[in-house]
Amino acid sequence: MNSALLSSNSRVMADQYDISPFLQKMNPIRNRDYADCSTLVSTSHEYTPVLRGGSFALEGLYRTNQIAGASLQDIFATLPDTQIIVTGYPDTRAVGKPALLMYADVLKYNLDNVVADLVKVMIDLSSQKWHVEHGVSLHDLTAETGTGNGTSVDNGAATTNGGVSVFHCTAIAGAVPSVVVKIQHSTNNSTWVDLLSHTAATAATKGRVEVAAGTTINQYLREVHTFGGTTSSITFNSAFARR
Amino acid sequence: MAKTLYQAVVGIDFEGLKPPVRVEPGEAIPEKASAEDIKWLLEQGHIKKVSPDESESDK
Repeated sequence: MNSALLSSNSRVMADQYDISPFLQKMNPIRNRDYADCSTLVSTSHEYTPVLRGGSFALEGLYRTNQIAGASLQDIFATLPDTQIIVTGYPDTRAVGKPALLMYADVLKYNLDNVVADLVKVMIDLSSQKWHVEHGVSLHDLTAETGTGNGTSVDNGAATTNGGVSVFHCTAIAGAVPSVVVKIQHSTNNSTWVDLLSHTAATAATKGRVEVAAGTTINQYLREVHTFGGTTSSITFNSAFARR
Repeated sequence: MAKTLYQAVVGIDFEGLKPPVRVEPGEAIPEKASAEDIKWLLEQGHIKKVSPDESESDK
């Protein structure tokens, strides 16, 4: 059976925006340098893998109308001085699906204007330290209307080197809305310990919280959202990458 | 002999208990928590042993 994945499943979040409706291509790259360790006695080149790196390239349509809260132009064209939280999903944002996390600097915003064609946008992103990190979705981009928790994700085993969580809130509603999104972990899928907490969302917002190197992340992970204030709903996506 | 008391260092949800119990940092761990849970929570520093006069139940 052909189980190849359609790119129509792919989605990309950037800060508090779902930019998927603008994009035609998402190209996350993880790479690793290779150092030549050949010596006088080598009979052929010998190499050893060294530092990891990565980049994130996006291609899309230039539009001035705002179908996702802000256009690619609004988000990237100024080459912002602060990093953008970018999360790519090759196969939907459903809980447990792979997520590619980058704390991204915008290196290039490039318009391509060709006769008899649509105006295209090309964006190059890179990261100062953590390049593209591989994680999992812990909450699809869907609305919640009350306090609750997401489905747990089983990693198969604990890890011991911390990690990073990202949070993209595209909408929140209520008279005085406030929602706290936390990530919990567990050894048995029954007793859950708070691992980290994002700053309370009171408007469309984003968050990124790192868990220190050396911290144990237990086998199971889940997201918990706690409503405060007078919140009627929140629409958000979250993901976690172990290190 | 007095029963050992434990206090949460971080928030913990005991969903296996009936009814489920949420414990905030500084609060006492429920006595019906399993020994297995207590063991790994202690190992990972999510709870700590306290003397009876530090426990939530004496406040």
